[in-house]
Amino acid sequence: MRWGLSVRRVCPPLVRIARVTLAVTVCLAGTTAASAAQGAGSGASTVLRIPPAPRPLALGNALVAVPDVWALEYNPAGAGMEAAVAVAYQGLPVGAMAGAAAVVAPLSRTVAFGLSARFVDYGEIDVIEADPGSPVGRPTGATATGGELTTLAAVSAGLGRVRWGVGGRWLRLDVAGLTDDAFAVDAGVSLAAAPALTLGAAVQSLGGDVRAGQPAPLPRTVRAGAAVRRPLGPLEGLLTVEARRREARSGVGAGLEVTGGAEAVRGTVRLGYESRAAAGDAYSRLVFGGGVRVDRVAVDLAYRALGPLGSTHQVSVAYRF
Amino acid sequence: VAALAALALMAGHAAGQELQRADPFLRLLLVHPHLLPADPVPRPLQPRAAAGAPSLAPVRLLEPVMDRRGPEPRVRTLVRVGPGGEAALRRYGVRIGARAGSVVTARVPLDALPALLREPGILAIEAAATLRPLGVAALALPAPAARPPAADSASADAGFDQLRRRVGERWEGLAGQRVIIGVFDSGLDLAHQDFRSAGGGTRVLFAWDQTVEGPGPGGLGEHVFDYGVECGAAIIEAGTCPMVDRIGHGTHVTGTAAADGSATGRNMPAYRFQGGAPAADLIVVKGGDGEFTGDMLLDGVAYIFQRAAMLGRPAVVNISLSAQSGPRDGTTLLEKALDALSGPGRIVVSGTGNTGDHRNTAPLVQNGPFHAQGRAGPPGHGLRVPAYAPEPGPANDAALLELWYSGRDSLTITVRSPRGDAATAATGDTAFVRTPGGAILIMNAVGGPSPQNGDHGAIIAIVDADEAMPPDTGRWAIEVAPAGTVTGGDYHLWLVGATFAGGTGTALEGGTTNRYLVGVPASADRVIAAGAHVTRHGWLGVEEEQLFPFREQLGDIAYFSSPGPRRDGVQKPDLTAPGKVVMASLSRDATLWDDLPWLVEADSAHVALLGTSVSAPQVAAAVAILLQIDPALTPEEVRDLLRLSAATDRFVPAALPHPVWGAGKLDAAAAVARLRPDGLAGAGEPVTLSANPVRSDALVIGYSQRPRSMAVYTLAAERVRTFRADELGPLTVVWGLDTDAGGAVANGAYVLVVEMEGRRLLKKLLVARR
Repeated sequence: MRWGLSVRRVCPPLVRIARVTLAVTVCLAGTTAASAAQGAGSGASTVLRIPPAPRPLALGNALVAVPDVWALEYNPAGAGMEAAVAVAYQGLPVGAMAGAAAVVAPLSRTVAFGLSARFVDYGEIDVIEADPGSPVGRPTGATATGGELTTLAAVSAGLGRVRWGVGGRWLRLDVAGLTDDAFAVDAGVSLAAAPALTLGAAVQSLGGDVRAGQPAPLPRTVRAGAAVRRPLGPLEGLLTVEARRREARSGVGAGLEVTGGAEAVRGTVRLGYESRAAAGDAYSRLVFGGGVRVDRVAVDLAYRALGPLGSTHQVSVAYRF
Repeated sequence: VAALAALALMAGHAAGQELQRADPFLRLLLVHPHLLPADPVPRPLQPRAAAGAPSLAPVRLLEPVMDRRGPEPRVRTLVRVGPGGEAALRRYGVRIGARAGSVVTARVPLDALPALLREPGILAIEAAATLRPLGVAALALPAPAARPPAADSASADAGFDQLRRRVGERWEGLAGQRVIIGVFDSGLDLAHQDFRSAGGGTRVLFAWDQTVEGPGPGGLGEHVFDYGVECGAAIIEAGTCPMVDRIGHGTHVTGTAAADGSATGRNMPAYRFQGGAPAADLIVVKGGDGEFTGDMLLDGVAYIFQRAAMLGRPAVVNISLSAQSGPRDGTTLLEKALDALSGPGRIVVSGTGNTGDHRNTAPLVQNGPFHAQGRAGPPGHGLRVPAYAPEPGPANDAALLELWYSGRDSLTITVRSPRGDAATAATGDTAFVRTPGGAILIMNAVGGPSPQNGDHGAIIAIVDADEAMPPDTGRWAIEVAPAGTVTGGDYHLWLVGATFAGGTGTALEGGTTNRYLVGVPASADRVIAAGAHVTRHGWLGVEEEQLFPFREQLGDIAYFSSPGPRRDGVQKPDLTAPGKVVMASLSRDATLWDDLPWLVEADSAHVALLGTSVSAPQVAAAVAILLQIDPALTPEEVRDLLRLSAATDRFVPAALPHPVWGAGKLDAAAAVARLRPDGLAGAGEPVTLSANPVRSDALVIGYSQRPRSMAVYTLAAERVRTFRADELGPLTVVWGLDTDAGGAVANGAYVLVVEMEGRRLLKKLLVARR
């Protein structure tokens, strides 16, 4: 209670934002409950369920309040005003792979445009044709493929310490020739609550359903979090935390990033934590990553164990203008 | 009448060497033709018969084998032919039906029978056996107790639940797909929802009603089926097929084997009662309305196998009927013919019969004894005739017994009434004595040993040949004494049937056993014989929960299950399956339960039945599943699989095979595992899929060894579905594309993780349901 009174006194806009965020969260939690009650796998899309790049992965997927070019995929208001472009790649289990690219371009002093494109390539399978009456299908010698492609175009605008953002998403699903398109909206807010503290909240994938075959909604997600950046002696530290609710499965993520080095060449190590949304999920809670930035170019890596599915490695290259 | 007179005259000429070619019942016809009613009365089913006792009046014994549909009476027979035999049959105007090895079904003009026996190409003629249903629905039961039903399931007990899974309205996995289950019985309620596919069409490919006038299916392969009406699926769909199951036995039996469980009513949920192979296709032959003959049975089995062959499908035929007569050694022409029809992908299953007398119920039920054995000489045996009210008219109060002994022995049989009158016949003789206390008929190996096994067969009948002289109540003495040459003098005596007091209470005394009671055709060499054990006592009735009044311990042998072995020592039954009580499909025209509505299930679409009638179709369903995996399995291979995989528990004795239990209890899942220990695809394919991409509502995952665990994940490593240990069948598991929370998975890519002993396998799955 004392903490709440203190915030109310020193930062009235924050209270309003918190109220709005809470209201949105409560509302959207209800909209996500229906699909969530069906369990993991009942919602559409893989690409929207995996971190797009090493930095968000290594920070526990807690990027809703962290200014970054990849923050587009977490909060359309979160990418900030820094012009940047980045590409990323990751290997997925059983020969699948994913890639992403993102760009942020300021349009004015307060308005920025962001564009993100991501894909997942399911890879090939050997086609097995059903043999009526037999529990064992017939290999045909043919192969089938599938994948997903999604783009997000977002605009964010700042008003004082607050930035609002909204984005439109298109997703194409192709599973062995079965294709469909889905459209959705993301919206978010970011608040520079203090020089070292950023708050963020976002809702994602509003309205989008894949309707071909088995209808399924895109993963409607509500996120809220905070990031604190402060010096740690000669180093610079970033601590980020995030709470999220996706398809009625709640979770938290947190990440610690420590950067040091010379102005031209800086190295970064990251340690992230992400709770499992369900007990049986196979991804590890701890994630490791790191990177190096040479002048305007940053290369980042991350690793995560995936239990019986193996592990995933991510790599990205970013350029800040 | 003129034909009978002529027959009687000719019989004298035939009573020499030729008579030996006839079976004991044809000899009875030839020697005592007056036992064949000249003016037969249609015989209704006797539903109140006791479990084991056929309601058969012996003097009318031969009437069921008479075909009186044409201008001249014909005898329904099976004939073993040698060179020139078929030509001889045609010369005498015999109608030949099925051909099974050297045996043909033949409808022989009555007056041609003696002459035919003299033809050198005719090696043996056998009167078509009279078979009766093995389902016991109607007993003189006390009022049922209204208590909660026992929680059990025949499907689970027999191991079917591990093999298949219902996904929506479709059964996936090992559910008998593309295998034909043939049923020879009292017909089928063709409109019953349990026999319609998920798409709404009938699962019955063909239905042949042998009991209605019609041209029949015609020539099929080497067979000629020139009677009855055959319906294809289109006619069945149109609702114009004349087949009706007036009894209900055939519908219940078919449901036990293959119902998909979709039928229901009265707002009860569906899919509570399904057969062992709910995705099998069906060919149904109706052979009677409660009474069946061996020639029509053989025609029906040949028809089913021929139709299946024309479709390129394997088939298993269920026969929940039994004849409780014959030498009980697998040598009758019917048994040999069924053996000949059986082969790779052609399997016959039958119930052993309901003549067991295990006396393991509370309250106690005595069901026999029906068998006695001894060695020639004192003390002999007794036949206990209960107090009864004689039926009006002659030849309807009777008991029939059969005695078999070595063809090297000569024995004298004496039957003595309670008041002391007696009849005696030595080997090769016949006696027919009218006494004030009932007539006594003895046919003691007249004509010599059986051409099939070289043994002597004797028939003993006690009958009211005159209405005024019904058989005495009390103990009838049966004495067997050596007469000349005796090598051992061992014999077996069976009470075949009795009509006194509604068929209940008549029993053998002295030297009785609860053995050697497996009937025909279960006693045939290649027929899989099923006994029955108990898996259910209670069910939800229409009005209230019901509890069967005679109760063994759940898991014990059913009190009526006919034990083996055969008379020649061959082990029968092969195994047991759930047979008391089983809930299955109820024919809308059924009369079997008219007086016993408490046996009808709450949904009014299913009904309780007990007997080896309902254990046999579960074995048939298991065979269908084995044929689904390997359509070329032989009867011997199937028998070995079922025996070697049979389950044992505290009820099954350790020393196996056992005369009552055979090899133990049916375990379809274990049989499947034994058939393919390396998985469905064989060695080198540790995990198989029914399809990929998955475009239907289910995926069947096969494996070479039972996994320690199995789960499906998204590419993001979220767990979608974990398969419980009890879901993992011996060779497969069916994934209905559902999540752990019960939802449906979205289209996309998934990872199947199979943990096996010493290794982990990952398979990528694409789900692309339209």
